[in-house]
Amino acid sequence: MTAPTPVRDWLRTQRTAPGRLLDAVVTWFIADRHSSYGIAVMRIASGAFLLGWLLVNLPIASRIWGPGSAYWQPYREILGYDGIFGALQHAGPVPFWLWYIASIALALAFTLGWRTRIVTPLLFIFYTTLNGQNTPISDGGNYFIRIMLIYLILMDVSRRWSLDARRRARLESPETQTGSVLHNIGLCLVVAQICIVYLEAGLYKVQGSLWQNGTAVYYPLQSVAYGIFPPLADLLTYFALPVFVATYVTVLAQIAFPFLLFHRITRRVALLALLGMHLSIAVVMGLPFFSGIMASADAVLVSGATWVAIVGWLRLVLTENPLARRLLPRLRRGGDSSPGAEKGTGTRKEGAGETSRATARRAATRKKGTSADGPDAEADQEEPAQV
Amino acid sequence: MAPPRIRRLPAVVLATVGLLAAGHIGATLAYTGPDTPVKAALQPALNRYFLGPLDQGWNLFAPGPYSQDEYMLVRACISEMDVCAGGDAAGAEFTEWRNVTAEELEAAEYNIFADRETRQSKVVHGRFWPVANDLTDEQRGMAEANHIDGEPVFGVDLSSPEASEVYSASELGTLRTYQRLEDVAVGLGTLVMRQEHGDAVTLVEVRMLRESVPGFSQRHDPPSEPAQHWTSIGWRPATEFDEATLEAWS
Repeated sequence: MTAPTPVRDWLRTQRTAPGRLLDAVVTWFIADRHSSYGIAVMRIASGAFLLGWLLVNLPIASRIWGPGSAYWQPYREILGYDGIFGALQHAGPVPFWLWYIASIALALAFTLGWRTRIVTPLLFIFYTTLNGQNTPISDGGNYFIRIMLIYLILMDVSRRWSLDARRRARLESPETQTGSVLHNIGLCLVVAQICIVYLEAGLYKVQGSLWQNGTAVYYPLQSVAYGIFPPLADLLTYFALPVFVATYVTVLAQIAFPFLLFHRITRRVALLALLGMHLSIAVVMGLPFFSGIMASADAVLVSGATWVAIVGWLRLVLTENPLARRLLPRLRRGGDSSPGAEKGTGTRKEGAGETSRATARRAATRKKGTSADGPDAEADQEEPAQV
Repeated sequence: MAPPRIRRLPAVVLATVGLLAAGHIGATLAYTGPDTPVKAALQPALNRYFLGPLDQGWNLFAPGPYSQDEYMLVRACISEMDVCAGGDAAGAEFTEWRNVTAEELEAAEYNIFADRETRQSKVVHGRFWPVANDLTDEQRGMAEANHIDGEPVFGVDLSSPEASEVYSASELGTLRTYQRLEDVAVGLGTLVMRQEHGDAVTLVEVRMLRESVPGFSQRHDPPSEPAQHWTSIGWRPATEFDEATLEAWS
């Protein structure tokens, strides 16, 4: 008989560990649809940017993506945008404009969270087809949202702050385990894609000598294409130290990003650093769409409790200022006197909101087996889902 | 409290979609990441998988940041084809060179919400320049020569069986890619010149110019003339487009 050893004892006690780990993983996938507030912010922000992008480019769309883009045909015909994704390659102006207007409508519906189970895949198809007409004109934001839309198809993107959420609250439709599994796999894909983008952008940068010597951000700012405010670019690049700091912070934040997500404090530092980087790129380099889309995806890494607090604060700021205090009662009085208000439509929205919150509480109660969990408490519960 | 039990369908979905998702992320890492032997081995399969809607690349402003100004310039011959073929001696009328990119970028200055048309010719330049650089000196000379009567730029129709007798497979790949992008550049040049001169445009000539941004150490005292690098496409017949395309550019 062999004598017991500490290692063998430890192994014996850990015999059930793989099973417990598997249980924990399965429970994570089926117990809740994680990061639903962050996903709502991502949906609203990226949908709004997409909508803005389609509207800004409306006057020139025919030349960039429509029949006027035919000069790209020798190049785009080999890029693999086949089937429905190649539908516009030989389309005339009428089909093109119908497609473009439908894309705008889908982006609006997506932003508002209306029928997203149908709208999200349709938006992916419409947007990708449009983009396939002229891929070189796309920036990183276009690429990123196209990939993200594929993942968002799996997800329940309208669980919070959406028209779908109101409808579901009225109908009290239950959430299925399969839906939760798909949602959480989609969330994993979104987070993994964000990490890949930042990590690889950083890895490529460290290979470049201008990134290594701390001067890289100077160059695009001094180019005609990206230095859209020449005096500002001159000011920002006049001294070496800010250029060096911006270059190194960019590289370090991007490479470290996936690793900084593991702790709540470092995650906030990373998100703030990248938000600063995106804001700078948007304003100084004139790439608001690229930056906005990238930053909106980062929203899924912010906990639900934080988003609820931010929205609560925003509501307070918007409603508790002298102007709002003077205007809101008048608006309410005006609303009360409307025929719709007499019929109850004026108050139905509030009621729907209450129903939504009540349903969220009931759902939380069902899931957690306690009646003390309000929506904010549920948001707090999302923290472990933030990778 | 006991953890909730997973039902059969969600379990199957978790296993299959989870595995597919993990495979997709692994493939994305390999496809978009820096060059490694693993990536090289998987490249053909990765190219097939990521062709089209899944295509992506994240070497944003790296490894070298954007450090030059890229311009596309174009001019046209606006006489009859046979007169243009005779050149100045035959009385052909040529337009001035137009720096299309500089004109487009004017709308982007002090405007963060500029539309994408401000980058139209710049991205043509961006795609064309590296493939033109892949040409040998001899091939570059052929590309810079005039080809106005429809004869192939590289002496043979690149999609014909004879092409594979004249060029190796890798050369043929390079030349075909170049030809596609030359056609794009000539096509855009045609449309731009037609906006100004209408049906009179019979030939176009395109040049790509790169001007280096002054080095960081020179930023307080930049050289009066930036270093310039040129790539040219000789005279080509104006590209023919259908009515819908011309209408969009009218």
